[in-house]
Amino acid sequence: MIARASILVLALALAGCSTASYTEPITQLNQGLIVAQAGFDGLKQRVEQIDLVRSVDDQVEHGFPLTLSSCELTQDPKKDPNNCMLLLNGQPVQSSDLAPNGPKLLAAFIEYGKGLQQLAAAKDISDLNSSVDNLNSALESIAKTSGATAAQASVISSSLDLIHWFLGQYLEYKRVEALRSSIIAGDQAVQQGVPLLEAEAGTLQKIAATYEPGQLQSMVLAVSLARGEPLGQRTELERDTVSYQQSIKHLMETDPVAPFEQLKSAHAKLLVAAEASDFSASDLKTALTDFYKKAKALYDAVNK
Amino acid sequence: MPASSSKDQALLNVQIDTCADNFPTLIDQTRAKENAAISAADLATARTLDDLGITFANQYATLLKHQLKAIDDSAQMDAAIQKFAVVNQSIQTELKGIQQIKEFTDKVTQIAKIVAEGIQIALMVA
Repeated sequence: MIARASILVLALALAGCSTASYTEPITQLNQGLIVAQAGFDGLKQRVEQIDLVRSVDDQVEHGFPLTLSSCELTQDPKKDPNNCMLLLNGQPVQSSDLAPNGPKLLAAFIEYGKGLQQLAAAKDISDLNSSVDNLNSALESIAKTSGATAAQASVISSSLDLIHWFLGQYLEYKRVEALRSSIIAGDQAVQQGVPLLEAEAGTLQKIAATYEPGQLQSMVLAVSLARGEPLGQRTELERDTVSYQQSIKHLMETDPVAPFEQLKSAHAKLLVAAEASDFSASDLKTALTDFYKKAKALYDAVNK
Repeated sequence: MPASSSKDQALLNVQIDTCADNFPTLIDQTRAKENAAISAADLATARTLDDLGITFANQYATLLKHQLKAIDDSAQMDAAIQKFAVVNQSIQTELKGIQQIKEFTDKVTQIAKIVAEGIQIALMVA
């Protein structure tokens, strides 16, 4: 009689727990993270390429010869890393890594988002435990890259014993518990990692804002200097100048730090929702949508 | 030959960081004067200012990624600190007031030279 009553009480308690409400915000968070990663990587590549061109130009001006190594058909670039390389004074031309931590952090954030998604969809306890392992590894990676030790990372408890009895609802209950503790731990990682992302994105834009208008200025002068050149050459130069101006204007008008500020704020709202087990708040959806929009704006600005 | 101290090194670092912070303004002002020269059809001056803009972009990159050389001689250290301090002072106070393109060009040519000297004394250039 007592056992039956206990089962009834447990069943009623578990009936209130569902991962269904987590699905939408987690999907939104993941979409934002993927676009933010593409935007950050695009900005980094763009700025590093401009920096490389500037560096080559500087060294050529100072008398270092720019040459090309032999270019041979090869299947394995590891065997011949200098194949088809630009050489400055005999040394391969290499770009500087102007934002070393951002790509690692964003890759770990993506893993964190994927881990949440796997957790929400876990079909059994083994699935659930493996999702928790992936999440812990992502959080440790964020903590390490942010300068904290792995031990300082918030680690999600995975003490989930196998209980076959009552498994369906028990699994759902455990999924909700693991998701809640993951989001709580994830918020600490977001607070640790995002300032570094903001700093690197800000530095990249500062460099872009200095180099790119300089290159455009030289093109503007070249248009004036080309007054006596044939119309075809002038038109080509003018077309390139106008097109480059539009690209730079778009980049200068986009705040590359904004997606990451918004990530922090959206994740804080996700944390509040997880703690209250209530994902219906409209400001959570708005915050996650804003994160996606700001990440998309960075991606578009970099790729135009 | 008195040895330079870590305090001097910290001071030099501050001057270099301030200089890097000032450089976007310097580059922006140089560009504005280049455009004024283009508008006045003074293409020779525009070209000089364009070259200076490129020089400043290269110097900015060096300042941003700066790594100090080991300077043992305190006189050398003082000279480097002094050069960056002069440049900072010029950018922050003098340049804004210069309207004449010629005067501006002379001043920024001088700045580029002092920065180059400061970089040569104090910084490793990759």
